[in-house]
Amino acid sequence: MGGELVTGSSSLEGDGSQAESIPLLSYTDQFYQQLPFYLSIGMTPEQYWDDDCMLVKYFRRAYELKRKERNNDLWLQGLYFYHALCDAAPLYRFSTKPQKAAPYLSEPFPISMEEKKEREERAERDRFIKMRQKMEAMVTKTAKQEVSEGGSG
Amino acid sequence: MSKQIKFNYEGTDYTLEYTRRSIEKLEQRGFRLADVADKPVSTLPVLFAGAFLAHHPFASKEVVDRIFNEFADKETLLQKLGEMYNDPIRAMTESEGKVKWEANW
Repeated sequence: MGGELVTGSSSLEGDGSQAESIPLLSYTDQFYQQLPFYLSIGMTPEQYWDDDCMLVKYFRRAYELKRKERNNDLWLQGLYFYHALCDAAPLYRFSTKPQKAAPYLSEPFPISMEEKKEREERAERDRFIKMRQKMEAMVTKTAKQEVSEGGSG
Repeated sequence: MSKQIKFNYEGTDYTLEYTRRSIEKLEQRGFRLADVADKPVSTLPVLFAGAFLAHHPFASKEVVDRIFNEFADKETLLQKLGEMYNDPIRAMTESEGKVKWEANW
């Protein structure tokens, strides 16, 4: 029971006459088999053969991190392309009268939480400064009006 | 960090460890880990001597044999050497494994 659930592989049961032989690789064979991969991810032959044998684990993890980072970079680049295309799209609406393209992003997307928080705080600060400038302008305008009304009256 | 056995013998510090190179050298001389179970008497000294290759490649056979003879608890030594010998291959094959299992002993 259950054995029949595994399809596409030979059964471990039986007299073994028809079973596939197990490929027996010595440790050395396996080391040589995997050597090109580790060389390709930056390990030197000396590190591979003579240094701490656990180094391979860390090289593998570093390689995974690099791949992940590259994947993120490519995704981000795609996103920039997409935004640039969307921004420039109005220029290519030939059926309507010519329109202005939106400007390209003024700065890169924030990619860390810290950067995102910093941007939000900056935006908040800018909003506050603008509001204060508006208020000050209004106060100045009102004061001027009062002065001119007082002078004429 | 790889597994190591450290000891001092007659005023000299020794570090036993297997690298891929030392395993290759051992296998070139015809050593197979599987033989340790069947022929421990003849293979254990070879396995022990192989652990010197990484840090003490010029240690004489005479000294290595003498150290081996004076080593206590050979059963544990065999077990530890086996684990050490497997490390270089284990480091290359181990993954995060999704299938959980347990033994009943």
